[in-house]
Amino acid sequence: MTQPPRLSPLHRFLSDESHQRDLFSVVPQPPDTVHQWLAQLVLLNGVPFEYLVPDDAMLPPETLRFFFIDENWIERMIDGALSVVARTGLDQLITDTLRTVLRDPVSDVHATRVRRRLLGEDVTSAEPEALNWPLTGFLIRSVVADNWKGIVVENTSKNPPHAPLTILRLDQPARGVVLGLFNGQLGSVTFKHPPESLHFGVDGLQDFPPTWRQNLRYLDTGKYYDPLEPVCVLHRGNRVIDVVGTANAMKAKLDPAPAAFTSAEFAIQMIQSPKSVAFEMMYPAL
Amino acid sequence: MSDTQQSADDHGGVPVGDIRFYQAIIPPLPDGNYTLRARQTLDGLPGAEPSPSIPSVTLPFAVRGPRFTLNPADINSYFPPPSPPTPFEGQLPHVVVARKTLPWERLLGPDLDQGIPWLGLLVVDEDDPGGIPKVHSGTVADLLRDGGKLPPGTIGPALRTGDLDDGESADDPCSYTELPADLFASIVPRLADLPFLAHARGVDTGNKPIEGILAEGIYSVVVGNRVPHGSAVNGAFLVSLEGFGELLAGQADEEAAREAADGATTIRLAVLHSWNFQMGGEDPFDVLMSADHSGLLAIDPPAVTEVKTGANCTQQAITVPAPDPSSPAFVEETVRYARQSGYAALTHDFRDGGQTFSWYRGPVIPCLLGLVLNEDQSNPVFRTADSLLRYDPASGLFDTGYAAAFELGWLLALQSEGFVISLRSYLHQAKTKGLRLVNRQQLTAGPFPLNLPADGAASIRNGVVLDAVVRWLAIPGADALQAALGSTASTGEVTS
Repeated sequence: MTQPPRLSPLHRFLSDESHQRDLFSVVPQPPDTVHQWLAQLVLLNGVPFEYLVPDDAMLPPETLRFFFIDENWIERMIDGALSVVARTGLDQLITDTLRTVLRDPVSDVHATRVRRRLLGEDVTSAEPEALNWPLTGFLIRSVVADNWKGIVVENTSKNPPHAPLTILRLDQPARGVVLGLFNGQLGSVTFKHPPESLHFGVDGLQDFPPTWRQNLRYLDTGKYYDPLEPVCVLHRGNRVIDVVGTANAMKAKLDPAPAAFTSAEFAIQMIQSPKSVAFEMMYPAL
Repeated sequence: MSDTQQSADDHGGVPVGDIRFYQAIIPPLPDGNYTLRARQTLDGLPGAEPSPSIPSVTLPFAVRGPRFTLNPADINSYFPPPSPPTPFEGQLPHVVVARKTLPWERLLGPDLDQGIPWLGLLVVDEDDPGGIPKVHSGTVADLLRDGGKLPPGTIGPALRTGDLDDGESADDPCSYTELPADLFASIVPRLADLPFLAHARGVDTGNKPIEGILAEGIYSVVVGNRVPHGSAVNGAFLVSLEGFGELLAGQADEEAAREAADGATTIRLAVLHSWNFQMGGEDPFDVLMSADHSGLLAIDPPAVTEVKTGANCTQQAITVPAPDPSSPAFVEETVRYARQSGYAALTHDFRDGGQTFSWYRGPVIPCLLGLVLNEDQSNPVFRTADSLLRYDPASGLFDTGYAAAFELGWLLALQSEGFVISLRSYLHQAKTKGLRLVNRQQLTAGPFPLNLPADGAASIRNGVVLDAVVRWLAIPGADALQAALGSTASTGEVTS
């Protein structure tokens, strides 16, 4: 005759589902460290890159790939993480019972705060934001990732009113790779040259060098004059720009005349417009 | 866009999409040695004539910053990129520095205004006399006038050992390069040019990768003054112009600079950063962003027409879609479906040493997949990785994705001591509280484990049980306890 397994009183007690709720009333909230660590996990921080892209053919060099996050995968990963403390059946039972207090705050509050915390923002005063499954995002493998570290990624939501989704992650999980992860389904993504590295340049190189010129911009809006107002870019030979001479020529042509013309105004005139490319997402009709 | 001369402690806060230009961000004190002298006098103290003298205090200090070398981490980015060649003909090179005050931290010369940057970005190409100069590693002594290391005909900055600040030494390592004096005179910015060739930019950081971010969002930018050669290799050199004031100042015509060089044929400069680049080819940004380089994350991503992404996988598809096994193209179909839905075929080692290949799919997939719950809408519970291995009998292959997820979560948790300790102590706490709860319930709810009188709670309040326990401790044995309970229970029946 087989004996039924001997269970501890607590185990027997919790096996009755109606008692599980009683446990909540006496157990304190899990420590913040647990929630924050799990939040990192939900955002796939620390997940080796090979787990994300198991085959290089999925993300060949110089490509951009969009994706959905499989929530089941994330859930199973959390199961695995929580299983480290489950040494006995009772441990497992308690972890399962406390599922709601262990896991829910992670996706209700903590996951959306990870990036803001990294950006040094005060997260405690902000309105809590819950994860809005399914999450979507993109991966880039390109020299662009290293050359334009500050690439700007703007987005809109798929759903009206198409407000931008919260960026959950935007970083480089591996060299030459950028990962973007958004709290919801993307409607569109726009990639822009980083403004801090927009470069100076001169137009009109085709009849190099006598008529190098640069079209004037309004100092307040940064927009070009309409009609265009080109100013000659002076040089001192050997492709070297006569900076002072050019600056003075620009200052003289600006209307209204600026009070001062410093390197800041000069930069507005010489900077090249940022490139940007927008992607519209297409979803199948469900 | 707007522009102001920003004070060093002002903060950004630039609206999304805007750039704010600053002509200069001048630190309150330029780098150098300073002495703080404090003197205190006490006058009119009754009965103390003459006033007591208070010793003055002298405190030397130095403001230090980069001078002959620059920490590579301070360079946020530079343009044009070293490779591949980029088609930015007519564009001026620049260096973006993640230190907003850097170009204005030092004085170019003792009598010069702090608004003149001390850094210059020189562009030299292969076709220039002498070609692109080499960058040598040496020490600060190689640059100093009294360092004894300058060969005849070569001059460096007008600096001597005595000009070094506290904490700097002639033995400090640095990099330097040498340019023919004529070339230097023709390409170096003139003193009046320099203020236009450095500025600072404030940008919004909300939509940028973490690595590219300076929390405050203000960068300083040093721009070159020479359009790169369109077909030859160019070298860009971020150099210190400190101590070259006399060579630059008279440069209204280049002759004056040559005179200032005093017959020297070679100029030696400290190089803080340098790289080579070439013009031509395609802009990688355009290449990357073109339609045929984008798609969904899968091998052979599903054909997407017109626009760049779509999701034509079935919702709720949890296993590899298995085409009809009787179909002659069964194998091809299986592979195609699997690859299009984000699976990769990987080698799978079994515990018993056997090997096969299995499907793996990670957390990032090319199709929409909702959370799969039990039929009663409860969360499925998995306690081992093996319970998550899926077997597809039609193809005879395993799907290992979720098993790998479980295993990885477990491994990552094990790596994180802080997490395990917190979680374990929390679990322990929960167990203790739970046990206390059970004990309380048992005592008040009866009849378990002792056969207490039906209104056990009342008995406890009346001290009956306590009595029983005391007696039991004195006369060991369950019978004695029963006896005790039987004899004292006045309000209920004792059952056996």
